Amino acid sequence: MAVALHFLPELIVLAAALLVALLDLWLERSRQVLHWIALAGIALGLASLAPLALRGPAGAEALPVWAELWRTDGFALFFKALFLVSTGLVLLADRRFVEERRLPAGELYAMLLFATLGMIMMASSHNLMVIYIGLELVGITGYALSGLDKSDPRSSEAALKYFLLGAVSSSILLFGLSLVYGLTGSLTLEGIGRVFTVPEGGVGLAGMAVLLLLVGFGFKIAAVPFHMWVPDTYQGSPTPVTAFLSVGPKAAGFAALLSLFVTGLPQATSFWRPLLAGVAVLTMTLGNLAALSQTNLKRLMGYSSISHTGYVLAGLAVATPYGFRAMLFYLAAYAFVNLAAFAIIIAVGTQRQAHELADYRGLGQQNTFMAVALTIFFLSLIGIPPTAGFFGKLYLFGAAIEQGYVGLALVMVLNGVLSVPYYYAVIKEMFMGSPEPSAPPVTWPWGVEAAVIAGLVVALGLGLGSDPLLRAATAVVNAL
Amino acid sequence: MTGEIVLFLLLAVFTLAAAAWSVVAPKVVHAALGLMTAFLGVAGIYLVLESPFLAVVQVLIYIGAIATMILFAIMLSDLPEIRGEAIPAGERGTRRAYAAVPRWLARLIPPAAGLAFLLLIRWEEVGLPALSRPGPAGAPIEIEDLARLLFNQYALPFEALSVLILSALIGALVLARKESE
Repeated sequence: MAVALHFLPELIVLAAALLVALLDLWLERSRQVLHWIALAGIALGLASLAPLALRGPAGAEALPVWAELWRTDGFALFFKALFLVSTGLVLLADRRFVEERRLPAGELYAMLLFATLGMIMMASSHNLMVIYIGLELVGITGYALSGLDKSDPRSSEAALKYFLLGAVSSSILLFGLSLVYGLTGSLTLEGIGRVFTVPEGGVGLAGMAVLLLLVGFGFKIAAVPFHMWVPDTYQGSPTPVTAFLSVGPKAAGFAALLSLFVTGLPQATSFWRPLLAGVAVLTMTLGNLAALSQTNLKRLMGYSSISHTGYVLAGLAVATPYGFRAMLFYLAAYAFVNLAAFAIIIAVGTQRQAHELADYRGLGQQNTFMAVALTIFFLSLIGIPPTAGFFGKLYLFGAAIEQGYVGLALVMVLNGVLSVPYYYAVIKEMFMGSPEPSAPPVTWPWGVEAAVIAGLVVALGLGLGSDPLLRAATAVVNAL
Repeated sequence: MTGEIVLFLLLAVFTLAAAAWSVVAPKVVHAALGLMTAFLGVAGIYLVLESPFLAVVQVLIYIGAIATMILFAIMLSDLPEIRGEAIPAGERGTRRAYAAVPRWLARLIPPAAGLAFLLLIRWEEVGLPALSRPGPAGAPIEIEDLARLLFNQYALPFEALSVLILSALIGALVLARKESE
């Protein structure tokens, strides 16, 4: 039993995924049952983390079997909780969308759960093979998910672009991983960490391996210049899938990047640190600049998610415990707030069929609560106190200053300012415009309301007292 | 230069040439055959690396199954441009480059490739420089050892792969299925 406990979240999510995929064959009419099973799988998975978490740091002992493959330390638990919560929020928000658009519900839920399985599995492993398989599981389900709406040619375009670039980047990543294996003879991160160095000058196979890894992961987390797929894929995918892509695979990529670079390549820090910092600066700035001219909200959120990738990368580039802690805090706050904002976007898009800014005109008069909530989420994404996003940026900023990266900190601040106009454009439409007479008020399913309230609790709760999440992030970094 | 390096270079050139042929060939069937040839070259590289099992698997799965499936898909498809009518020449630079290769040379590539491969398998018997056998002294890795590793130490990634394949199957089915409205 003690051993099974370490695999319980994975087993539960796998069981839920298989159950949904199978029951889909019989339950032609009552698709809601599938939705409930998927939600129950996520909730049980989260609950099964509790016994592991309650044991405290002393409980993070190695397993009697597969000690090199599997561990359930603070790092794994933090990311498992984050992944499960993200998928849960997507599931809460997407039910009516799935019904209205006649998407294949069983396959959608099954593949969301499979992707989640890949992510939580990857969080537990310090073995390159398992990490790669986990990332591929997220990737392959992502390609299929983004093409699910077959009535919409944009959805097929989204899937095709995502798939082609994803396949190329996966093979680049795999090439990088096999170079690392060839150079060190080890598949475990600890084994690699003992041996792997990049010689002075940074050329040769080792430097090449790090570069290839950076390109491969850069695609997964959508960093500039590997972000070309984001705008079209985000705009074309069914909106719940867009919400999932903007958090799930991104956070998974960051988890792998963090454990691989910090545990596996610590002796090459001086080589990858400036590279990551450069990519972070580019990603933040280009994401924000491109977002300025967008009028489609899904595309806008796509570019905005690129810029947030830049911030999280900056935390990794600082490469100190403070930096990692700030990175984890920022990632968790972003996941909640972004998904809650997407819950509103999904609900509006389901009823108005489009995602143009004009569809949000006068939402403040029609649905004051939701408009205010969306405003708070945007304020958090900009980083205005008292929201979670403010503290996320503050910690990142502090970590950069502490390490003497004043330039990086300055770019972060400038980008915070740069991101104001495009979020503000949405807020202005909602409160300054008057609603179209033809557009009835949007009604809100309970799932969307639940996701929005969860987002509000996190955005404002962490804004007023950021200690709990910060403590959790510190524990994770100590476990690295 | 040791035997391995000569062998590896030959195989590498052979594989790359086949891959390039697969990319520029004006007919899709030729492209598929080029892909098969490239797979064969990779199998040869596995042999040089002393992984006979992997080489056999490569031939069985990539040439025996995947490439055959590609040929089937081409055969069953309706579109004339897929079934073999050549794409108009001079569309792209690569196609023009291909057109510049004399016909007889292009036709020689597959049989030459096959012969070369047979020659490589019988490398030492035809009097070419002997292959050194570095690596750890001791018994060579048997298939049983591989199986033991795969189903004990690495059972977890093995099972994870089965989930990966299942989800890829579901994804492919849902994307390819016709809507029944």
